Amino acid sequence: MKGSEDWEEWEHAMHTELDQLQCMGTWKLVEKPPGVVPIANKWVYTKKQDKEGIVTKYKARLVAKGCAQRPRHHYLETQSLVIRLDSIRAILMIAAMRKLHMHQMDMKGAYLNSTLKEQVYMRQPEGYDDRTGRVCLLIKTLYGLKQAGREWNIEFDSKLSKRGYQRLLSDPCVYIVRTGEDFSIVTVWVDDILIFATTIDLRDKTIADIEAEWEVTNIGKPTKIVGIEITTTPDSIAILSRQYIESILRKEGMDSSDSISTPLDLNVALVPNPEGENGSCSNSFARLLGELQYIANATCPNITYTVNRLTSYTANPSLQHNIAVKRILRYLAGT
Amino acid sequence: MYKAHPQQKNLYRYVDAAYGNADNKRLTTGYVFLVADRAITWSLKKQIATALSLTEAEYVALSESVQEACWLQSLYDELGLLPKESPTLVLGDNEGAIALTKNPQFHKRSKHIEIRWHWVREQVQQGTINVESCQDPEQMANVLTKALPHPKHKKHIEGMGLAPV
Repeated sequence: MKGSEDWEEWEHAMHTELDQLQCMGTWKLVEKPPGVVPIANKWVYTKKQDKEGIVTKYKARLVAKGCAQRPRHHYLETQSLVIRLDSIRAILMIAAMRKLHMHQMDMKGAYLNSTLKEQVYMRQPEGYDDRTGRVCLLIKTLYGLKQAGREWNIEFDSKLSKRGYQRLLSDPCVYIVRTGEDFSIVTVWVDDILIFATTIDLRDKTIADIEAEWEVTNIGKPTKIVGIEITTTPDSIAILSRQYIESILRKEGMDSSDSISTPLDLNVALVPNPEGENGSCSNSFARLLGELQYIANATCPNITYTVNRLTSYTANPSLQHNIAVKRILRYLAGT
Repeated sequence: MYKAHPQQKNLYRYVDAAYGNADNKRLTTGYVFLVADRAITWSLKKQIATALSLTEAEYVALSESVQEACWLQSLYDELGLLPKESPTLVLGDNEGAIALTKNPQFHKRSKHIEIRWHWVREQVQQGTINVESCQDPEQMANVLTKALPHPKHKKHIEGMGLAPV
């Protein structure tokens, strides 16, 4: 890392991250108690790019190596609640029919808001060791810890229900608050939050409620959630995976191929690869299908069948199956 | 891609189908649930048990998709947005399976069906759902369970509200 041409940018990013960690009181430095093996940590670097591929932000994040945590000792339960894609679509449908006022916000350092219950010691951040032999006693759930997702959700739930928001039994990531006929719905995907309200006042009140508890970035009208693009016009809402599809097509070098009208060729019967014949061993077939599966689950029921059929051949894909996958891509290119 | 336009007619309508692939003995359940003619949830899954007849497979598929219908109902119910016009309409395309949901008679060819699948009968009795039959060409869930020629494919996906952008 050091010596790379954007080292200065990265160093700046790491300082920003350390400042935030300190500001949130993530840990305190203590003398290492005898017999304790502190878990390690590392830096994760990401470059955020805009549509043209220009780097807009250098981001460095310190993560604990949660894999070194011992079950029952360092953590009890792990889980991370995410909203069902079905719920998002069902609520967007309501939003379109009732013309709800929508708003999207993003939690800053979501996990650092929740307190760690177990005693976990961590080495000092890599590259920023003060060489006193002290270790970090974690106070907040740092990224990478096994229980971070769960603890954050508990924190989010308790604060929100104190303010009168009711968590749904049918989807624990959806909350609603009512005043008479009007209501405001909050959905949460780890740190991505959507608000749907019948009136602007109610929407603003919900925003204020959340801002009062945590530090957030307001995005405004929702445009993208978990890779699904949302476009709104005064009387309709559309969801699509265009950017994702385009990026796959580019990666496969198929962005200029002819489109086709159905995802599966009716004249070809898909058969398993004959015994003893090994198709390509690379996992590009499985990877591509995985990406397509997400698209099928999110926005495109029209390719579900074909993707589903092909997934049963992932262990040993033949040329036929690879051609079929390329056909799905050509089909998507035309939609 | 997929567009939600407010439309008042056909507010809540649900479709389901089962279909077998000769690849293995298991049949698949496929369903798509529409709200105001827009697909909200859909799924295609291999059934967990081997069915002895197509009717049994369709019956299992009905039961599985009614589970999803119940979830969607309870979501809208909790949000206070469940329409007055319930029960939910579920369209199946196998007469035998539909008859089984309504008529709890003991039958030589259906006596082996596992008790869990009969859960769907309760839902029909309680009036949470209403199962009706639909002709195969109208069965929208066919898009999920088999490969279709272009005109049919196009018709069904447009019926779900998927539109080219």
